[in-house]
Amino acid sequence: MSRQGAVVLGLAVMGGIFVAPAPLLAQSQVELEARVRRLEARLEQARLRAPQFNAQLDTVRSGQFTLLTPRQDVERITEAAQAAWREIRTLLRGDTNALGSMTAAILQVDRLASASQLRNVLGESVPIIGLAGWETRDDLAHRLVEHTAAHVFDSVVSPGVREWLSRPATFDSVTAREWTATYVRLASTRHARVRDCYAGVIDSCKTVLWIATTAEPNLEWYPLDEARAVWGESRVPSCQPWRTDAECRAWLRDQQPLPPLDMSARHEVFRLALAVGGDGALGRFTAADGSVAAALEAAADMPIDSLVAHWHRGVVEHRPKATALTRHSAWAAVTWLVLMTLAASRSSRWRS
Amino acid sequence: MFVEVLRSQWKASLVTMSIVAVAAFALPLVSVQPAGEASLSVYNTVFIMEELARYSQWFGGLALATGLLAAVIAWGNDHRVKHVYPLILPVPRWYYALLRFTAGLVILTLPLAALWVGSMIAAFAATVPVGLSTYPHALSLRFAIASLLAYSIFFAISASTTRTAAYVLVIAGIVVVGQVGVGILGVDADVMGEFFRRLTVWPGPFEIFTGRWVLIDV
Repeated sequence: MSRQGAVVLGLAVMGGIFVAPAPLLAQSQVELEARVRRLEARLEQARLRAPQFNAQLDTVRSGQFTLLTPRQDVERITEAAQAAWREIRTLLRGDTNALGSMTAAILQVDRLASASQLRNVLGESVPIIGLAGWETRDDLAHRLVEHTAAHVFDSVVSPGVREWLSRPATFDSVTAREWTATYVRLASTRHARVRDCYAGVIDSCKTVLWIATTAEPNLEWYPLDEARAVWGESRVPSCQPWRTDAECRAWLRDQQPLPPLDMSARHEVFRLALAVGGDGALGRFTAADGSVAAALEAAADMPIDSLVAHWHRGVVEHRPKATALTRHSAWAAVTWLVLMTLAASRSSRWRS
Repeated sequence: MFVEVLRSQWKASLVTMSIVAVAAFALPLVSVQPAGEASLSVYNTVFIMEELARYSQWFGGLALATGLLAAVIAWGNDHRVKHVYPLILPVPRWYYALLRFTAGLVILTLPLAALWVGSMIAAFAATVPVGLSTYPHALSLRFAIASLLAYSIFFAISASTTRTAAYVLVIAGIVVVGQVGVGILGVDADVMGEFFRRLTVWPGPFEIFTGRWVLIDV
């Protein structure tokens, strides 16, 4: 083959490589026009959507809040955000560094139909808070504080710690009423481990507070005879008297953790750790990537046994005042009774 | 003479004390209604305790009202006749006052006994959560002492002259004026709060009325 023939053959092969698929890419004029019309319609929708949100949404900043809100609600949202931020600073004793930036969109509930469109614009990372028309400034401020608690909960690094918290917790100090309620729970429990905790056994308190982790917490919390009594009464088939210990044990093993002390007690320990831990407590807690005990120790800046003992002391100190009359009260009352009787028997009516 | 005084006071107070006795009998029964569920979980215990504590003020209020009514009725007849007849009796004033006082004590046994019986029945009938106990005797004793104390205080006030009542009002007025005055002067002082605290915290006379009055407790 001559040189010219080889060049032509090469060109033909290359042309075949590029030209052969051409029929697959080609489109008719009709198809092209339809495609262009579809693209133009989507562009028009996007153009319409952008000014809709640009015109309707405004940005409110207060503290570490960045809130997107319809323009007509700006004033109300601003007041609420300021009130919420003041409360958060009070609850966290000024230690707000760990919160980072908190962004959310606030929409009236009757406009939540457009929430999905807003979601397309903002993305999944920005939560949307629905706002009812009747909600006051204080209601909204409270919702923002709750949103902050949820934000903190989501910020916790350790999945084990998140599971331990179960739900977002508030940051304020434990109130006397809450301590008293916990005292009543401990004093009136039917669970042996909780009774031991009430009696002051710190290891038992760590167990029932789910701080001391085990592979099978249900078996750790409930001795078999207690499990049979508790869940036998609840008519769990595996723990009925005619079933074997192994069957009841197997049922316990298969269940989700069933802590004998509810979540509020665990939240009290968390809040106590923040209160005693001082500056940076919240940040240390959320950043701790390990066990629950390690996170609480980091927050409280003290050994876990000391923290749990501190919690136990708080509970015991808030025992409700007994109905029974104390000796001091009785003697004081009797003394006043005698004094009043003597005062009544003085013959004042003969004197002017 | 005591029998005559007792008879006249009994007649005057029969209707009122009967109504108070019915209330005293019913209050413990009503207060334990939250504990009437057949099946209670440990999570209900706190709720039950809080519901029972709501009735605390009713017990304290009833004790105060019982003493007040008994004292007012004790001197009611004498006030109506402006104390003429009692003053001409050939007995010392203090003796006569003690007769009236003792007659009132006897009459008070009716509502006190009613409360004790009501507490016993309520304690027997209530479903008590595990870990809690009933305190019918303690509650009844406290109610009795509180009622007697209220009775003696109002008995002394009723036995006094208008001048004494004026002294009491002046003292109360001084406290109120003092509170207003410190407010005007911008001084951060709680005069009325301190005054009431002195009355209601040991060893104040009204300390026994404060706190929890519950039939079922830890």
